[in-house]
Amino acid sequence: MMNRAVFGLGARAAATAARAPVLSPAQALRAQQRFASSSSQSSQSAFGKTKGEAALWFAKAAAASAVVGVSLSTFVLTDERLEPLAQGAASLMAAAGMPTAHAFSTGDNGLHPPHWPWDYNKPWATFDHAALRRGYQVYREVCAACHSMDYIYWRNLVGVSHTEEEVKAMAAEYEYQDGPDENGDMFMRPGKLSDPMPRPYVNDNAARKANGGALPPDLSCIVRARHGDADYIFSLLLGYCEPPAGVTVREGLHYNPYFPGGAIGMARSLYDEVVEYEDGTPNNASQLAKDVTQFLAWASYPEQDQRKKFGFKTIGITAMILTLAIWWKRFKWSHVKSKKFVFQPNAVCARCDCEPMYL
Amino acid sequence: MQKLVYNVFFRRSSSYLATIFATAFVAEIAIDGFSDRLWDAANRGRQWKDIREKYISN
Ligand code: HEC
Repeated sequence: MMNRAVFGLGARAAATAARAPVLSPAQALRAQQRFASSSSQSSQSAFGKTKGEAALWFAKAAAASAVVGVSLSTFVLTDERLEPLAQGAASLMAAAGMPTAHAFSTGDNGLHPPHWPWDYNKPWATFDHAALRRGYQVYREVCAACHSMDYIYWRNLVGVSHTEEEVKAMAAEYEYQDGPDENGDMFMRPGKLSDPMPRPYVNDNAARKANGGALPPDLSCIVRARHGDADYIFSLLLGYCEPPAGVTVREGLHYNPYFPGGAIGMARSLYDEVVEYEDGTPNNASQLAKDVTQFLAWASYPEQDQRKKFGFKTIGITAMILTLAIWWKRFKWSHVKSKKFVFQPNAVCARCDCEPMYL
Repeated sequence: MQKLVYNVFFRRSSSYLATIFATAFVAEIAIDGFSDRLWDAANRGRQWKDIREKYISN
């Protein structure tokens, strides 16, 4: 009512004419067609007007993410750039009175093992099962004299490093106590697939007694149980050397810089040619150590092969679903993105002469 | 063509559901087969199935 009172019909009509130029019917039709064709085309595909444009969009997206990823990791976040940040953070922490780490003592913590290039460490690589087979042989012929593997059962080797017949025969070479029989007596029987690896000593005290007081740890999970994983085990097995000047090692202990404290109760046990391989692999000490370490890594991470494979399948399927999700979002939003709202202030409704907000 | 696909596979909930189940079945086999092949190619000679012939006696 107010509006009507202030602006008379004539004034309003004049204002409308001034702000929104009146289109001739032909012009209006063309404008409408343009609008319609543009919106219908853009809703055809979420990524562009044609298949070519969509392909280009994907190519550009892939190239851009590759460039961003590679440049972030190799050019931007280099050690030279991260190092000052870490040092800055460390000095800030020191200034704030927070406790900081102290220099690493090689003597007390053991020499840091190098990162050996294990081929099974690649994200897509399984264990080398021929090496597992050789590693088992090294364990059986050398380490098993002192070390148990209580959590590895004969059946675990089937389909990993040996055939079922082989493992059955291997297990049958050992005697296991079973029972009680109908008379209540325990009896001995040959090993079966369901038996664990035999222990070298009846109990831990016997093991200590035989090894100068040092208990040879169970090797079932040793790779999990040590810092440095396989790198540590491998370095330890080959790391024996003369103690440096000024370091004395107690009688019965052996100097090994990788062992925390430096003096280990285990003597060096791997020398060139102590094990004869059946597949003709060179049997020098480092090959023996490599194979037995890989076998111990399998014992600690028996699920590795499957885990990696499933991981890759998961990544692949999620990538497909992600692509679908992106397409779906763009598909749904293409209406919104290509929609045009036209606001004509003070337009006059042709039918009833009211003043609609939008026309 | 589009119309035919829509009418056959998507129009009724029952056929839509059947489509979903059938696609899941086929896709599972296809994806598994494809990724197994890829995996075995990346690990040629490393897995037990690659070396077991040497030790099978019969
Ligand atoms: C003569 C017996 C004997 C043999 C053979 C032997 N070990 Fe040991 N091993 C020991 C003893 C004893 C210890 C405990 C040492 C200690 O705590 O000071 C030990 C400790 C270890 C450790 C643990 C080190 C740590 O960080 O605590 C590993 C790993 C190991 N042995 C691996 C092996 C492997 C692999 C073999 C086979 C190549 C092997 N051992 C052969 C007696 C032996």
